[in-house]
Amino acid sequence: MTLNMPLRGSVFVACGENGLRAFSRDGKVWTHLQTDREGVLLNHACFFRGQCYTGGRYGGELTLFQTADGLTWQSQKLPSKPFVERLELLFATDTEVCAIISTDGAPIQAILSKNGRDWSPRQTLFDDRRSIARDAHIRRVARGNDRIVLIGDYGVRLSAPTLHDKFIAAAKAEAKDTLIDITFGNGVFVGGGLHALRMRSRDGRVWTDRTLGEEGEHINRMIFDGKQFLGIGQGATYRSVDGVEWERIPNQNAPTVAAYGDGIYVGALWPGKLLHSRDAIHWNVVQEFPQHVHSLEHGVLGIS
Amino acid sequence: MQPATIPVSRRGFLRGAGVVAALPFLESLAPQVVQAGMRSAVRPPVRFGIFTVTGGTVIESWVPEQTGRLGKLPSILKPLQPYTDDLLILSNLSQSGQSEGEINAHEHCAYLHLTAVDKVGKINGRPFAGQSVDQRAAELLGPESLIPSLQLGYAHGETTYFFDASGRSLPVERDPRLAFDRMFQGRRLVAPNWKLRHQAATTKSLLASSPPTYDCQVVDLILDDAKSLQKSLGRADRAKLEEYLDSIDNIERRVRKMQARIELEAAELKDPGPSSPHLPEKLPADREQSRRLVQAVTRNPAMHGDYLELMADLMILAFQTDTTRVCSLGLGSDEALFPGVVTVGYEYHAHTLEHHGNAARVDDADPVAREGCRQIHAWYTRFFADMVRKMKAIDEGGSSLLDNTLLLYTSYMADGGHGRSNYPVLLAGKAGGTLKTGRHIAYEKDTPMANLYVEILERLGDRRGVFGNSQTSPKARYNGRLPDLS
Repeated sequence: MTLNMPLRGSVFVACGENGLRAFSRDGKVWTHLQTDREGVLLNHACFFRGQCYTGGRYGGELTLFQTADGLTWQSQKLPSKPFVERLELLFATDTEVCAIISTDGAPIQAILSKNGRDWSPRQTLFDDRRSIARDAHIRRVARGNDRIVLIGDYGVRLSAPTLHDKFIAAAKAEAKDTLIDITFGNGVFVGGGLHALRMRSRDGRVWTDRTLGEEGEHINRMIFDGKQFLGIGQGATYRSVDGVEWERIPNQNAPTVAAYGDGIYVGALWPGKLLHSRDAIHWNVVQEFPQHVHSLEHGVLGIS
Repeated sequence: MQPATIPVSRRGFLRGAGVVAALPFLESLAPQVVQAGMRSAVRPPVRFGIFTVTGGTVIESWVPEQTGRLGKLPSILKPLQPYTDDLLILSNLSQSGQSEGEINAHEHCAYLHLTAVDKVGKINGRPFAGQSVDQRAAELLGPESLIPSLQLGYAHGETTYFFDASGRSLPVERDPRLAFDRMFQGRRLVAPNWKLRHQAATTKSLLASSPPTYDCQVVDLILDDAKSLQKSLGRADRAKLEEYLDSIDNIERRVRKMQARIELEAAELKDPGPSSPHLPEKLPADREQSRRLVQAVTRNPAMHGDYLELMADLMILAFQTDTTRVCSLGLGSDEALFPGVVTVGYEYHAHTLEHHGNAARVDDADPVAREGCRQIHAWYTRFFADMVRKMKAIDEGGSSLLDNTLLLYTSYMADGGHGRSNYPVLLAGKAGGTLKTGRHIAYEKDTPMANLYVEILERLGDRRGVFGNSQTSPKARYNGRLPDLS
């Protein structure tokens, strides 16, 4: 596939250092490589209505790149206070793209857009900032059961029916239960964390079935592949259908960043290694970029 | 054809040294190398090295649970497991010094780090603190070596650690190529033959036999003339002239010592010490390559690793060749990014990890960030352990370079939350047989770090018995000493 052919349909996107962006249909061959100035760091990606969005920062500014075909990118600065605020998350719901922006001690806020160009005024996600640690970052999101669940540092777990509602913090969320990643499937939210910590919840507020695995086998990614959950750790992949009964399978060359789509798992390992797997257990390096990949996502380009 | 003559003229030396023959280079040369040759014993000398990193540590993964003989080391120290017989782990050492003026928490910790005084701060934007332990060591050992002390690494700004006797902060050489050139320009790399040096000192033949060069004689004449001028000058001018003469004399004296060292090393080339000089494998070919490496340190962990290895290698080479007997490495950066080193979560920025990974109660810290900090410090330890391995392999004629060195591995903060209680403290090497290694000693809670510095300095020949706030700390313990080290 040559760079001058527009992309359309189901693809993986990788983004990272120096404005790195690349696409792959099969998780093995990565094309449409684009980079930007040194120092442009893109650490979030999502798809919304046929567009791919990658976001991050350059200097003190929050920056966003979007494309509908993998060839032509539009860039913009997100409205923010330079050098103070950070882009904590970029994701899409069925109706909007959402950027979560925050700074230590300030209310966590979201801006929303239906087209990636026009952004809503800021809205505060919840009223009592003291309900979470002052410097907690929001790190990951999952949607299901008509709820949006956000997780972050110090065991932060927040949930709300929509982005237009106030989020409520999970009761008794302790730092030791910090989740690194979260996903939704088979009617439950399932998260993974340090030493193969796993927990599940139906609503994002009450979490149960806490279990730990081997020391050092931190689950960096929790994926739902349509049938089962896969917690990908460095040393083992943990599998479960319901988030309660788990099977531990030693893995090889596991990535720290991963995504799933079309029956394929893709991953990234520092520095700039892209990996491919059929089972989330056996991983093979398929490409190496000079820039490190910070985020991988799967979605659809060109089709609204 | 290469000339075979050994003596190097002062002018020739200066010419060969090129730009480094300018004053800063000459100032760095030790003043009494001739005496070093005369005084040195047949045993190799004791050296003192500091390997200090940023970010504190994760103490539960650093301090062994058991005291006494070292067994299985905690995860951060795991790379040092093969060398437990050469290690001494000391816990519960703390800093109690206060801060004054507008300094931030990092500066507070940094200024106290090696000075261990009662008070640090800034006056008119300039840091003040007491003399740092490395500089006191340099006063003790410096006269015996070519360069009294070397301060290398990334420490600067908020991480200023090194202070002279007047409390003035000292610069740190960040560029490895410049550091190498500074040490070895005009010299040949040779491992000292300590037996030969001892014989030379005994017979006083090798160094003292060299007649003054023509250049030296000319300078002597100029000095004599200038001195005669003194009598006809007023008081103010006389003071100025004396200052000038002193500086000329200093330079002259240092050049003579350098010349003597070059002659000595040329002789040793025919009969060198048992180990080859430890030339750093990753030494940049030129200044440009070196500059690029330095610039990449905070962004690229692979190059950061190369940098740590290289700086550690320079310390080894400096000790092995007796270029200096006091060398400090201020390594790491709170601003560095650690993707690939930190393999958990999303945060790679050391400073963010340090803050999130620490809290008043460990249970309240973010555990993912704390694990990231642990991974960073386990990574730092790999490089320290590699340095220990290399020094242990260098034979100095019946004892290893490690045997003859006292290495301090520590951090400028106790933890990433600007903590100053229970620092990570590890000594490696036997300091010429003055340390009983292979153990973990837990002292009373908050025993002053200054006590450790008193012990270190005593092993380097200090007879003062006091350093920093070893006697004045509100938490003074053990009469300002650390029992049971030997």
